[in-house]
Amino acid sequence: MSISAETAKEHAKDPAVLCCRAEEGITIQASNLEDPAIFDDLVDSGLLDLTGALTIEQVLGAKLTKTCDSLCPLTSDVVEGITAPTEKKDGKQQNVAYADGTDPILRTGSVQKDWTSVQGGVLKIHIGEGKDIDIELPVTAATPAESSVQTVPAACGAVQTPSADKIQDPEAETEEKTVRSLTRKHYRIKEVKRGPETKIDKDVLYIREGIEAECVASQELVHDLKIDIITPEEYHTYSETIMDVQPVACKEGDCELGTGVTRVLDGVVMMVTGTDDNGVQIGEFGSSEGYLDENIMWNRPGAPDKGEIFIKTQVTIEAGMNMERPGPLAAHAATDYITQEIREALKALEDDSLVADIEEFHQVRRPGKKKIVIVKEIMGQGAMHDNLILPVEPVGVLGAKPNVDLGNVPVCVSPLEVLDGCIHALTCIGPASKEMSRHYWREPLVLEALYDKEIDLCGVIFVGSPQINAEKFYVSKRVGMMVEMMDVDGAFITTEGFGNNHIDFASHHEQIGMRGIPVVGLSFCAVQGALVVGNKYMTNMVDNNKSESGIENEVLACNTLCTEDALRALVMLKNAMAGEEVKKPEKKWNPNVKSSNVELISNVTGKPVELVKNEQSLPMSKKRKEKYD
Amino acid sequence: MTDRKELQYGDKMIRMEGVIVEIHEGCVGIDLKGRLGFLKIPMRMLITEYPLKVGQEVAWNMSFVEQLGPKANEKYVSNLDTYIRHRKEMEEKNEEGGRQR
Amino acid sequence: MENLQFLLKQHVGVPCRPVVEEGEMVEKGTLIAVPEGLGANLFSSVYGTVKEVREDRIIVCPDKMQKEEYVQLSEGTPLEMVKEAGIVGMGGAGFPTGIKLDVNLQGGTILVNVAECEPGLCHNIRQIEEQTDMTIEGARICKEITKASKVIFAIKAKNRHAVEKLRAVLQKEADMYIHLLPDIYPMGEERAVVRECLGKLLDPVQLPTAADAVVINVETVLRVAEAVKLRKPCFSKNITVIGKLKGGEEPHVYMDVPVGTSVEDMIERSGGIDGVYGEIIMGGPFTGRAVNLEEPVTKTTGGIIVTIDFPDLHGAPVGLLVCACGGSEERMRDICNKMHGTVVSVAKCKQAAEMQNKALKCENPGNCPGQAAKCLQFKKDGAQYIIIGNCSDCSNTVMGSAPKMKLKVFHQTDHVMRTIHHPLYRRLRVSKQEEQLPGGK
Repeated sequence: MSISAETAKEHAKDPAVLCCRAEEGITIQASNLEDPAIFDDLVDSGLLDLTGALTIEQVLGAKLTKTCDSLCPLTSDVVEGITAPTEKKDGKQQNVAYADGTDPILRTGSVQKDWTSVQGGVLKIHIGEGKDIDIELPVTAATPAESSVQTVPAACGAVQTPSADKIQDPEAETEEKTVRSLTRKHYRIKEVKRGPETKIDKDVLYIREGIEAECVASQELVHDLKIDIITPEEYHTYSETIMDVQPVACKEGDCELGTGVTRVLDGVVMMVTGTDDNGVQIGEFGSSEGYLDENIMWNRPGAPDKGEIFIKTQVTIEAGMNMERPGPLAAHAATDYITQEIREALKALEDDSLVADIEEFHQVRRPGKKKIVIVKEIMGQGAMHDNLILPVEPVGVLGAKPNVDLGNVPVCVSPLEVLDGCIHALTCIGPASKEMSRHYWREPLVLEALYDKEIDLCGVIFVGSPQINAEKFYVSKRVGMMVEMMDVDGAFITTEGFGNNHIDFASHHEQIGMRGIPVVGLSFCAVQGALVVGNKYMTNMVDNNKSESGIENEVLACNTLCTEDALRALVMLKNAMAGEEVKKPEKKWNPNVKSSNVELISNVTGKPVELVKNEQSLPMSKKRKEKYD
Repeated sequence: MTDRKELQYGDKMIRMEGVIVEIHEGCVGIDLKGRLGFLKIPMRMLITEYPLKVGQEVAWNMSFVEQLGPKANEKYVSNLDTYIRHRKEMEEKNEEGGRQR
Repeated sequence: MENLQFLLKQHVGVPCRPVVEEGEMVEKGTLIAVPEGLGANLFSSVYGTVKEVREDRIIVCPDKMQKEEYVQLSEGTPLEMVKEAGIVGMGGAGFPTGIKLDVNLQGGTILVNVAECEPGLCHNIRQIEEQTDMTIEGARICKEITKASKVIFAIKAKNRHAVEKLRAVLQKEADMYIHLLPDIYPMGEERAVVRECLGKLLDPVQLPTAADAVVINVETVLRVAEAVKLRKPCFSKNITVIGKLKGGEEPHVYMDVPVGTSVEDMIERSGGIDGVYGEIIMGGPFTGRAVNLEEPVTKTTGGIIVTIDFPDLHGAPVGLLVCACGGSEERMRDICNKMHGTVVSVAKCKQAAEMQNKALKCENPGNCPGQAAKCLQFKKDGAQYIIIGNCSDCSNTVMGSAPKMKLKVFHQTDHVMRTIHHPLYRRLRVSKQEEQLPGGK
């Protein structure tokens, strides 16, 4: 459809195509031109060939020398008096122009400046009628004076501004404040063996023989459980679909999740796999079982690291329960029976000399800096689309609430609770883009945002993704309200996998965006996970894809959020908060956009962004090698 | 990896209709109308405006399935062999168990 | 002669209040109903007896013998006489002319609308050819009432004979000119006439007075002359009857048809319906509506069209492109039903602005805003056919994309165009620019 002069300006560099028949001799105006927004569809339908088309800025004001029909791209042989194109700022612009795009200039410096221009002041109000009430209260200059005034009449009785202390001492605003801390004590495990009791002896972990029977007995639906200890030498082992990868960790003493001390075993992870009585994979749609070394993207936040030992359970549940909610839950709970016994052994350790490494996490608030929230969408459609929230032990089962039971409503957690395993992920389909339990334990966006001194990460919101659209909008509106109350300056929204969860993903963008808060979204999209819906607030997107061809493959955690994605998202959000426009996406998925964005970031920060490998780095099976080499 | 071949008939979108015949918490089974097959999809690939019921009609666009090449991928062949063998073993075990009981 | 039915609402505004009672004798020109607010007087068009006064109409049984004479209007100023005569916009809009002309244009322009834009209708052009002098007299009266300085007749260049006739007479009229219009739809839209003649595009909510002009239909002009010069009340209407009629599809033009005559009467006078037909349209192919045979002629009835049967889509999915130039969504759905199509998608032209009364008006009549996005929508919604009601330019645009997307295009006027052997509205092959006469004469 014809465009306005404004749209023409926005699309100055896009091809000029007549929207309708235009007669010889006319002066070309915006109203003669078709909206470039629909060109993709038109090209796809074979209606349009843009070869040789001039750009919109070139043709505006020029003369049409021949009567042309609708959808005719304007080329130099039918246009007279072409305007010379304006210089492109950057030769690489084409590559940067993806949704996964970012401005070459990092504006964070100026951002800070805008936001620390606090001028202390006092607003005096005198209410004369009858009782004579005098109110004196500090005015936050960071909020415009008009809005401060509005709040006053309502607050007549008890005037309390939470930021009062800050204002009285403007200097304090820039001072970092540590809200809470978390210590991780690492215990190195080099060998896992079976033995008469579960214990940790120096760097050897013993798992009690016969524990399997108790695991089975603990869950009605579990009919069998097998433990395999997979050492690096045995990585080329066939396995049923990997349902989850979990750290083995426990809280020390009475510490609560997210604070105090956590003990964790290094060099070993729990791995849940399983089928039903008939050998049908749990919550699985085939093509994902196979040799471990071919199906794991090593060292992803959610995946095992190369060299680690897996304590792999193979749980058999009641036939037909593989697609019902109690089925996958029982498989996880039965596995956790073993993990819990290891946790008890770990708790019992008294020899501090066994601590190989100590890691400190501080939840730091940076008043005066741009306030950011991370909204993480987790699956909540049912069955294996569920997550246990806030167990007593890291990635435990006990004490946790399934988000489906919580109605998928948003739940606020501290960044340290995320890193301390507050999510026990029951997910398993879409192995490449699902976030395993271990992913939260090492969540790169939370880590990067927490340590970025230019921003103030206030917390993390988990919101479930229900099945029915009406429920999706219900929870999404709650997210909007919650974020509104937080008074943040920017928000990240992440989701895992693709499908109907992109409907609420989009809605979260709208709910937050419509409140005037810049949003950056992170999702696997590429080719296969293209967003099903969109809205005008979805302008800043980071694609988590790593796969070569942009599809969801069978390789565990291949397309999940990594540090390189977190870094791009951070820069993008800073730009968005500084009012920089993120360039529009290209027509089709183009992996070069990411590379050039990464390059730009490295150029500006002076630090190279190391990119993770993808499935192409994994070995082909020996059998195939023989055949193909 | 199989060569990444461009689809030749990818733009031939066909409206397919089906009936929901199975509802599980994690997936639905759909019979394609006109005896054109059966489809089982995880919940998150289904867009739901109403509470799910068996017998509800559904529709989507799809195209024809094309082969990407003549070769069979050994990885998938061997995985499938193992999977089928495992299932058979388990079924046999179940039967034995049944007899003993 | 059958009974005549006078609808109490034949105009923009509120229905009239009857001032006659059942059994009362009426003459040609007897005032039978008066406005209750915005409206216009209603007169009997025959000698006869009031048979029934219903809520929405007065039914008069005519006498066997009808005289030419009529009850004359009382003398007054020209404007008073126009108001008294109950004249309304006869191009179809039905706005009371006495109110329209009650304006001081301070040297502005009277634009006489002779576009006769609806294909198939020809009574306006016939009037120019046969009643040139009386028409010009009417234009002069309008000019004087409104204190305009000039009159422009807007007429399509294709009507060569009428243009020549008009040209010849206008040579001796100092302040009267001709503006030639191209043969595309909808040149007769009020704001299109203003834009073409005066070069000013009005907003859909603006009246022509915003361009110091009054646009008045050519038949209305004639009735103004009759009221002032002949003291004749407005009770007759010029009509074209065309379509699938015995004796052929040539138009039958009737001057001064008594208001209240039934559609059936007019069709019988024209030979009667020839076999199976699709529908009877009152008005033009674009903006008319389907009616039954009992429907009476009103002051705004322009055409009566009997169409051939509709094609049968056997329930195929259809997209409707609703715009201001063609029928309303209701009319489009009516046509789709008659074609046994299933509506799966409805889109509204970008330029169709909704007025307060829910009617659509085009923001720039006859100049297309692009339709490719709408076609993409139809395709996406699974339509196989689309029905459009667009103007010549927009139809052309639709043809630029729909067929390539394998959408089969119907225009809402197709069945009429096929009936009267008029080219279908598809591709635009004529220019929107028309060369003007030297000095407008």
